[in-house]
Amino acid sequence: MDITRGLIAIGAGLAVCAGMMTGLGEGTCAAHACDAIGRNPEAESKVRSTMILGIALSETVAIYGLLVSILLMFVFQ
Amino acid sequence: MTVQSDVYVIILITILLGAAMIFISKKIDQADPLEKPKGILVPVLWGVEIVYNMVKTNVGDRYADRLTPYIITLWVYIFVSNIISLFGFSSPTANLSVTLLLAFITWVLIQITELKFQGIGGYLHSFLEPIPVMLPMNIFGKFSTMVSMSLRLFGNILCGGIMMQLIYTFTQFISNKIVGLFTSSDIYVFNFVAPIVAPLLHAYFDLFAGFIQTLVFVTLTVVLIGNDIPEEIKKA
Repeated sequence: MDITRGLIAIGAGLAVCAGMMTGLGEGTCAAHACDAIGRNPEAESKVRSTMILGIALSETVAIYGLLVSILLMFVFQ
Repeated sequence: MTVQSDVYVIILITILLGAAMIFISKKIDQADPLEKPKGILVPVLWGVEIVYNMVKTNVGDRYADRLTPYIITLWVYIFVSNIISLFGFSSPTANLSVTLLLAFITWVLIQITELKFQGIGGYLHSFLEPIPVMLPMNIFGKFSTMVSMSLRLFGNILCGGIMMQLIYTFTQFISNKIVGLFTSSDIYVFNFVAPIVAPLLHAYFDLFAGFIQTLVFVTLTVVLIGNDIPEEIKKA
């Protein structure tokens, strides 16, 4: 057991921090979709699919962070 | 040669779903179209109608009939794969090969739709927009759909599994400590804390996250295919 494993663990933890701002962004996106549906209830299905598209695209960053973290944990042991 | 344990689960799911589909299609053949549906047909018809309407608002009437079977297959297969971990199997969608294949089929469909409505010239020219310098970016952009869709599903389901494993390890530790208080010896006891803590987390990580990720994957497929179909064909 040397210092490398500890450093890998710290790196994996730092990589997941990519999800911090993504959470904020997704929350904002969902909140604005709620606003839009409240203002115009007929457009609900369109707003929903657009919201899911937006959330999914911004989520990509968090997923990449997660992937880097998983790679660090399981590949570089 | 070693076979991954996921392969057996995939074969099991395929057999189960195939049997269910044959059974339901036989029921549909026997049913009288003039009478009210009953039994298993009620939820099936309800689900098909919801998916069909969702596809129709996104790709238009003309292509909804062709796209709906694929979308329903995606729904059933991904959802069953996600919640199979409730029964003690490992989830096939926690294997990148499976999600990459699903995303690859969707990606091919998107490319075919683009080729069909833009023509080969328009498709090749879309790599040079807005300026020719963007060529490498556009090539990466075409493939990033496939990569991000597969990694989203894979990452979410895999992390659900890892979280549940961590929870079980932690509850085992707590159980050992609690028993150790009274007997003051290091023994391996039954994990009695887990039945209190785990069910709610299983409901979240397996059922809820599985459902949401299925919804996201399917909606993304429909929206991305619908984006490439011109508005006047959707209206027709």
